[in-house]
Amino acid sequence: MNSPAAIILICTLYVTAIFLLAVWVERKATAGKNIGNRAWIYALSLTIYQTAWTYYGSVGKAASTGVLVLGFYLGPTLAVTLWWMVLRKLVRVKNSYLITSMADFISLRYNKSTAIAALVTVISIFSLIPYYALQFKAMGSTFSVITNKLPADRAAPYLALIFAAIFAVFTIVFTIILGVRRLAPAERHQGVVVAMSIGTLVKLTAFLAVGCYVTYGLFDGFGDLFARFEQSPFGASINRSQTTLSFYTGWTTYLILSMCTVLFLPWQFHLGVIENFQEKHIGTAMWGLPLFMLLQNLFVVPIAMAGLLAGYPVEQGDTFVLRLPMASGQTFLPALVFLGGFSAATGMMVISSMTVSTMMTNHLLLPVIASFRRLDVLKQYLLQCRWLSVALLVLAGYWFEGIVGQYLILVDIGIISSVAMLQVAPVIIGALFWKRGNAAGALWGMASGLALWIYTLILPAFIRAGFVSHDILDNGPLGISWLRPEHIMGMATFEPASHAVFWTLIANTGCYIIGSLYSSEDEAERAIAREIVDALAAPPIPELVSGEATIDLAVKKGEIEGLYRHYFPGPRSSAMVEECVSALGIAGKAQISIAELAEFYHEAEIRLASAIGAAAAHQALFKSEIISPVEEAKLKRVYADMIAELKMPASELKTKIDYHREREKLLTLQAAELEEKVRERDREIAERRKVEQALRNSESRLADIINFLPDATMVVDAAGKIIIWNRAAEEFTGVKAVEMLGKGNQEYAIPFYGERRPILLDLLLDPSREQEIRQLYPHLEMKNGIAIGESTTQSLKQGKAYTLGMAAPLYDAEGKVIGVIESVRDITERKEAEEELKKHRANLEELVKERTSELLIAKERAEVASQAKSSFLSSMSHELRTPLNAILGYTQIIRRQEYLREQQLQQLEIIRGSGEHLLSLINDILDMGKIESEKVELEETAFDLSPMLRQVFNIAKVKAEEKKLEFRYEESTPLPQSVRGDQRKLKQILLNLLTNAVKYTREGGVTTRVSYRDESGILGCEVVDTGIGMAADHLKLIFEPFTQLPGAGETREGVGLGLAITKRLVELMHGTISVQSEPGRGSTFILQLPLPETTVEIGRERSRPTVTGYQGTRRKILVVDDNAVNASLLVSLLQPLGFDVFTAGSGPEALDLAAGQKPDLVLLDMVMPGMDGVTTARELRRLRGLEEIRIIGTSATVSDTELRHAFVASCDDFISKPVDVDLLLEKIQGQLGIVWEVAVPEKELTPAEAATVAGETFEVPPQEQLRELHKLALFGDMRRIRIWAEELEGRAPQYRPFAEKLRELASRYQAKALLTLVEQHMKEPQ
Amino acid sequence: MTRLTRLIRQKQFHLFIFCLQVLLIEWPILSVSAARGLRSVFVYLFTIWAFFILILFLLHKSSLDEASEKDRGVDGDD
Repeated sequence: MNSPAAIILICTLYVTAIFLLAVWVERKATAGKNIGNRAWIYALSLTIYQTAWTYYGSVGKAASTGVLVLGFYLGPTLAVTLWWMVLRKLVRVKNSYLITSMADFISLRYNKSTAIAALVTVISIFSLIPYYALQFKAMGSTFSVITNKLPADRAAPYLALIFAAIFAVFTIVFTIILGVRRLAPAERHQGVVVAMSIGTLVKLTAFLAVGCYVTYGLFDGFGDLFARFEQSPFGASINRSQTTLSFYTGWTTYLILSMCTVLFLPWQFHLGVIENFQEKHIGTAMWGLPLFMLLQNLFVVPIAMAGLLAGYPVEQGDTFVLRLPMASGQTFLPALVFLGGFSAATGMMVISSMTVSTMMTNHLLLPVIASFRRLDVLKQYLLQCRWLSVALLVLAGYWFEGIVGQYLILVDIGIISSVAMLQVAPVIIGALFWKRGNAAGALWGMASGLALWIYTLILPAFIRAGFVSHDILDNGPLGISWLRPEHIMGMATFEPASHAVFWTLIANTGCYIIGSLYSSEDEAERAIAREIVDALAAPPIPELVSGEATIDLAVKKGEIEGLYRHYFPGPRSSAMVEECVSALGIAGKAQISIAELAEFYHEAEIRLASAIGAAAAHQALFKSEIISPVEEAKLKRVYADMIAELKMPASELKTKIDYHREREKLLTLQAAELEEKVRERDREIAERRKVEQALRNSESRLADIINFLPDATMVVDAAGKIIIWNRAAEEFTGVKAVEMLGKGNQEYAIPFYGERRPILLDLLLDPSREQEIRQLYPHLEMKNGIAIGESTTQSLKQGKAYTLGMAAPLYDAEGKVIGVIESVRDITERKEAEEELKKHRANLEELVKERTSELLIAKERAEVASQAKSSFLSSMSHELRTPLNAILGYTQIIRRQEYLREQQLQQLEIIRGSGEHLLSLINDILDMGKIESEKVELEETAFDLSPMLRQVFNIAKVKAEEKKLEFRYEESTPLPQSVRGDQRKLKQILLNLLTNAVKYTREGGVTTRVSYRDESGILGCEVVDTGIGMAADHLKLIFEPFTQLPGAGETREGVGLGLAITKRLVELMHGTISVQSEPGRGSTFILQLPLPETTVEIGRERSRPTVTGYQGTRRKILVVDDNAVNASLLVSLLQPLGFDVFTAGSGPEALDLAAGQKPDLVLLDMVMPGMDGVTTARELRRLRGLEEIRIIGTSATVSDTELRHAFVASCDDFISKPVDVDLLLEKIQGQLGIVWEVAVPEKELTPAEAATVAGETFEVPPQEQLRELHKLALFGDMRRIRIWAEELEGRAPQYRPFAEKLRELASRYQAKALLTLVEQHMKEPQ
Repeated sequence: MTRLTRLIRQKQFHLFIFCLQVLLIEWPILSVSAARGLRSVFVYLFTIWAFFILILFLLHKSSLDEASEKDRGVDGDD
């Protein structure tokens, strides 16, 4: 009998041994030696499938159903037949995608669905918990058996419980320590796998040992055993059961279940796929696993038969394997058997908890964390979460066994779990072989299968455990009998497991297919489906030969050389290949490994790339197939192993690769930047060298320039030491540069001053010495930072000299003073010259004073002479104008008479024109004076050009006609209506030219051609005469003042100012004048004057109405003039207009008359003997009652004298003599405020009007009175005609119509009409 | 021998073996031995089982040879 302690000790020792083995394997793996990389280890690891359930339960099942239990082990044998297609494909997918678990694979295949992964995980958990319960039940029950604790023993349950608890703790700790140490689910767990694989040998050994002992120890072999059993009642019963339908349905069910679960249990998937090192290990497993199972089950039926034959009840069939040897007194064998069972249970639990905990964290916890941000903190504790998952799973199994296990036998629990895991089989098989299968179908299939699994197996278990009403099991939910959980659709022939398998597979597969066909997958899912389904189409991954040198180097060299020959000559290609080989250090090898081949390939590509570029080289080598598909696969495998040995997930490796790539890029960039900086620094150095060279050249040039300077120049550095001493300084001082260079401490002053003293440059070196230095320089100033000073030097060579020094600071690039340059110029000669100049200047100033004094005297004399001249001109002008005033005035008065004939009018006009010409001559003399003194100004106005020309022409024409000369006026071009210019001066110019032409022409004629250029506004005028002409040498003189042509003889008239004034005026008007002449052939004067056309409206000279009187009371006018003629002229003008006119010949007389007569207006002459006009005006205004008297000044003086200004200021108005009558009347009207009565200018009567006037019949006075009236009409005295008419009407009313007509015509100043009327009635007989 | 090797390397042969196994260990063939009693069916099943393990072993050997041949560049059929 084995005591509990002994059993526990044995188990502990076993666990310790297993643990140490696992640790050793892990360490070996870390060292690079993969113990697990063995086919038999791989095959043994898969036998973990045979857990404690099958270890103990298969005997129990065989005891009740015979060979039926073998179906659980024949099924895997059937399945492994297809593993070369199924498992190999899964391994390739695993190697390609680095999947971590079964859930990961299914999720990957079905669009990476987290829901599917979660569902698979849930199914796995549902499956695993009963499995764990199974293990706990087996361990507990066998522990009781082996420790011989009967059920009646009160301590038995507790001992079983304690042992199960110890077992649970051990499982948890072992799993965490060896299986879940790191967060690297994709890594292999060699230690655990190897340890558990070795553990399977314990259970096989134990089972074979007990089988042999029972078969050959207790019986005489199989024959004896079978013979006895067939003779026993059990034999007949078993034989009968083997022919029933339920046997075959059960058989088939077990086959299906075991076929699927041998690979699709999570831990089996992990061992078969994830832990696979090489595909060829699958081949070993294909026969090794069935062989192990055959051996394991070889004695199942014999032991069961022996137990039954030994009299043990069928219900204890699960423990026959222990009870039989114990019953025969064996102690070691039962302990070994128990250890075998313990090994089976621990192996399964450790591997499964390790696997499913990974699925739980990856596919349940992480999605939950992703959904709830508050759980993000858990990401940092994923490993701990996985540990917790392990514990939860194990404890859940322990809990489940305690709740349900007592109601079920081991086999039933195992079947429940197997059916649960069966639900993943359709989607996995579909994933591998049906491209159309998709995520929706997988989800539908698994969900429906799981639902039916719960309904058909779990619910009945709970019902039997008493948690749910038994009525559902008997009558179906809500009494629906065809929905009874174990008899759906009334199917009663199937045992529960077969029933569940049937319906779950129907539902699962059906929903999977329909769901996949119903829904569509996206392109990504289709692509991965294609890759997985066609995974085996890719070249097979050969065995790992990374370190084995199996590739013939000579062959590869030949291939690469052949490739090179496409681009290089033969010798060059060979050399390049040898370079590659030498560079890699494989030159002496006959064979190389795949890794070395890869390096050779890479080296060859690099060397080719240097010639044809990277892309072309890559393509060339790629197309060359130097690395065969097999070698490529080997290479991939090498890399895969390298990744596996790194023991890090693909994501982490990728991250690290990315990191190193990024780092390489950064390093490359940094290297490039450094190279660029180095190049830049090289450029800078080169530039700096150039600059330094340029600086040296510049300094050399500067030294040459300074040396070349004519002034003595020196340069000192900041310390005051001489660094340059030029040639001029040597000459000036007699001291050579070599003697001075490097000298400091003001030694440079000695050659100049004979002593050590501060000079100008010291002022710039040490500004604090300014006061001291200023005392040494009589003249010192700072200008723009340059010190300029004059001093007297005592040159060693030249002795005393006046010098001008200039010192300027020298700066470096940063603006710091690095020295001072000073030049010293000998200005002795200049100084002496300046002294001499000063003396000359003094003399000159004396001379200037003398000359100035003389000039002042001369000027005063000239001014006196000028004053005398002006006075003379003024007097002469006055004297000449005075008679002209009478001439022109009376001419105007006579012209006002209506009775003058046309001829008389023309004669008067000639008198007036000549008078005005005389006046213009006088004005010429005055103008010439003004011209000479530049006092003439232009008076530009707008005027009508043609009338003005014709007027001038008519004046000249009179003289021409007198000399019987032909006088023609021609307009070459149309003339503008109006122009702008100085009309008076133009008239003067033209008149001068015309009169000059007439004057010097004896016969022939004078032709005047006038033209106008619109574009330039130039008036052209040619005056052509047939006169005496001029010699060429005289032409230049004719425009000089007081010049007359020699030989002119009788034509000598005037003062010789005409052409001189003309030229000056023309020039003043910005025109030109020239002359062409030949002696005897006449002359042509050509005049060009700018007279721009204007559109300004010009006040046309209207025929002024003749003033005949004024309205209102009679006014008194006093005429004061010392010239009686002029006074008489004004009396003759004003008296007929109705004024009372008084005359006075002097100022005092005027004062007397004014005092008596109180005149309304005084016409006062300016120049009078005795009291002049100014005084007279002042005195007049002082007379009582005459303070407001109106005074109009008159004067023939036009000189611009102070007297004239004073006179004009003392009068109310002023008018020049000769008096313009109309202007005078206008001024009188303005001063007296009177309204003139005027005779409207008679317009020519139309024939109709004349007829009307003539046709009217009036009673007229007698002829005598008509003659008197005719006389009045001839004189045009309208006022007297009106008086005459009133008197006539008063005398004889019958003449009223005639008188009214007379008044009407007289009031309208219709003189001609009046005359016509009178003369008509005079002719007609009365 | 070469032909036999080529035969068993084909995946269709694997399927054939699978189907043959199913046929041999399922009803109705199984019922023949089962009807004769437990001993008969026990012997039958383990004989069949062992036979197919042998077949699987040969398949494995064949796959190893195939892999070696492919490594050497000899064409093979998967």
